[in-house]
Amino acid sequence: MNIQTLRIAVSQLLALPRWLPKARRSRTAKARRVVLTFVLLTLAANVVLSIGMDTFWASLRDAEYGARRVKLQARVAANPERPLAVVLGSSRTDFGIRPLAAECGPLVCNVSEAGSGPLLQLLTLRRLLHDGAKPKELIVEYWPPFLAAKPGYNEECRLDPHRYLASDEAFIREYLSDPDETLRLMREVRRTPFWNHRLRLLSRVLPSWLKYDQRMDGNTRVDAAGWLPGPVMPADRARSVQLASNYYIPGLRDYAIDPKAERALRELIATAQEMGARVTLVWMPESSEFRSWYPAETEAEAWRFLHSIEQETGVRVIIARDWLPDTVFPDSFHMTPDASIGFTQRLFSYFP
Amino acid sequence: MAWGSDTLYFRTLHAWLPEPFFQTQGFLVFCAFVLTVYWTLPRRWNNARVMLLVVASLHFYAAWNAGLALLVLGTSLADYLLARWLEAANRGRRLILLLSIAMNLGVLAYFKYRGFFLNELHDLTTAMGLPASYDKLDLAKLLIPFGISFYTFEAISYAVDVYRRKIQAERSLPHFLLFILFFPHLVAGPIVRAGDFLRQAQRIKRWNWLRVQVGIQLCLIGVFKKFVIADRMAVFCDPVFADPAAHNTNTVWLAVLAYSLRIYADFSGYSDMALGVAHLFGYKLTVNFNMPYLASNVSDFWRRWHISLSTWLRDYVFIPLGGSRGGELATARNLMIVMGVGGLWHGAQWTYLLWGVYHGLLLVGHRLFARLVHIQHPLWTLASTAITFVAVSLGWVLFRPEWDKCLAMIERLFAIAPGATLPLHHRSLWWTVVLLFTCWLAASRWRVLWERLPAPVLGVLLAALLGVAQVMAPNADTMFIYFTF
Repeated sequence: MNIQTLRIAVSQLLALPRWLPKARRSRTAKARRVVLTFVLLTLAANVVLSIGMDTFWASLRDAEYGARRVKLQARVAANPERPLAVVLGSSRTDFGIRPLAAECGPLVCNVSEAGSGPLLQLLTLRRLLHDGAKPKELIVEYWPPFLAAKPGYNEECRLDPHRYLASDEAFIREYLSDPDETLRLMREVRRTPFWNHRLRLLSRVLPSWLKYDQRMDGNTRVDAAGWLPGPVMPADRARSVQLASNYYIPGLRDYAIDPKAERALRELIATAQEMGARVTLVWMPESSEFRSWYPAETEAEAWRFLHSIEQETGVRVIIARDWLPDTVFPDSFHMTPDASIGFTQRLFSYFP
Repeated sequence: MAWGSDTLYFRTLHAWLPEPFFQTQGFLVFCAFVLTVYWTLPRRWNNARVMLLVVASLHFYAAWNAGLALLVLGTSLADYLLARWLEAANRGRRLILLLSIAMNLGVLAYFKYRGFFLNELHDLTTAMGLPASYDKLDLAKLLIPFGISFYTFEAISYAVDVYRRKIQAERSLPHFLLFILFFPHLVAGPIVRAGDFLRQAQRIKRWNWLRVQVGIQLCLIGVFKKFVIADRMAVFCDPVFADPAAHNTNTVWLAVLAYSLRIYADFSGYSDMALGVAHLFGYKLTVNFNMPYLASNVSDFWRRWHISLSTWLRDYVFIPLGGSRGGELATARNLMIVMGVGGLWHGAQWTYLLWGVYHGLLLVGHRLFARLVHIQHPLWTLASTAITFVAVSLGWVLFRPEWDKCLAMIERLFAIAPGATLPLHHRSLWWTVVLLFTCWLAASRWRVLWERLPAPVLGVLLAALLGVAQVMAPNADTMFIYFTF
């Protein structure tokens, strides 16, 4: 192709719109139609997205829950004869319990979510039941740091109002300290869904355009049973451990169980038992460094609470705190993907 | 908080519109409300409409700071009275003009430049071994009224035009107040001229769908430029400009490119929004940008960049100084003075003055070069456009208040240095450049497209533009750069 041909091609491309027919209506009538189409379409798009994110696109509003619900429904549909076991917990169970790596009696699905303590566990259970899941077994993480009552460390401060679905209103009214403010925020988020969920939407279509701390596409790596690969061992493990200690050591001082966390845990157990599901509380592995960060009185309080729950409700308790060596914890409390295989095999031996 | 802000009324207003910015939900509600009332008023009640806009504009400003809204109102009243006096007076007109200019510049100097001058005086006296009788001021804590540089220049140009008998002093106080306070241009321009604006204020306005379409289109283009281009570029340039010494040379060059695009998209996006909002009320403001980075020399650049400021400086500083009538040396002097004033207009810092001087030198250099070299070739035009872009982009390095960071940037730009890279892969930066080019193509070469596309398709495109702009915005809290001026 010579320069002349290229020039002709470019000039034809630039002149492309001239091929379009001229408008037949008057300019004012056309402008009116443009404006009305724009206004109506913008309103409609916002309404549809807002309602859709509470119903058929719920995984857009809460991608963490949505991704796992989809996997669970697919897994249940493929194995309708097996009883369902659901894992509820934080990133520790998310990275640690890998159902496809081990065989066990029930069909295990991991529905863990980052930062989840009893409040989010209960909310997840309610959502699952609302969505038609019928678990026969619940494997629930028990982790004292996420039961803390201390301001700044309690679970409520980790809950993101952008993620609440319309069906979560009862939970919000029952468990949050300022439900009216949360409901107001929910309404605000729903008024401008494109703007308020832009990071979620962009994470879906162009995740590489977002900075690491803005990305919300981690759930795309979730496997068919809901397991998410955890962190690999960093070059500077000591720094990661230091960062973890900076956060958790102050949180474990002057420790008390949050009454709302206790109430949520009891409700979760009661709900499961009412529908005939067995509940197992698992204290997931921690490195020796992390275990050393518990002050004696905190440790005592955590054990006292666990025993009282065990005795009062009859749930099964598995203490897996020291099952793994320190070398598999990149940051002292999350295990590596390789370690999750052995850990899951050992854990599933309790679920024949 | 200043006067009046503690009343329930202003507290509620402040909660709705905490800052006088366009890209907020609060502004959308405010604008929709004012528009509804405005167009509901019968068109023969033009004065009522003007008064409504004055009241709305005052509320727009007072929602941020009621005390400073009162200050703007006070100086505007004084400008109105002084201009009436100026027109009526047969003797001492120059004195009245000087009084008007002194008042406006005095208020500007007090709020914007006092910290700078007092601190420089403090440093000077300390360096001379004399005891300073006051502590240095923390410039970051000084409250500067939003838009003070813009409305001060508008008021000065009005007084000068009345003095020159180019226009008559406005009889109607609401019309004059609207000229200064009209909220679309109050905070960051464009700098409007009384001759243009007051004529429009007097004209009875009819609802016009074409105008509404143009207004909405301009608003959406502005929103797109701000959220999709400027805020994305901020992701790349802000961390580097904040700590240039920590970044490597390649990264610093990319950050300079990103800042060039950012400041253009940010300011022209704001100007588009201002023009669009004004159109919705039936007003046409001065166009502020005309593809400045396609300028083939720096003189051409200043005919395309911040046009309302550059024409103001030309008409009220350059030409009164003698313009280009007094030979090359006098012209060079005038250019340096004008660009120095232009630099200082942006901020009370040596770096802004230096930026102005840098552009002054570029202009003088271009004049000399243009006398010596006459080349007419497409490749030369392309090369000179690229050279102008690089020269202007390097100038933006100085367009920041921190002197030490400017030096660190310059050092990093011209010495191969190791260091950190961009916080995000630069793929999206280049895609944004491609997008910018496509937008330019769509806006300039494919204008006929907008005229010939069917109305529903155009409506869908506009809705998509808004949707994409919202979703692509990387940050929620990036302010317009020119609001700080």
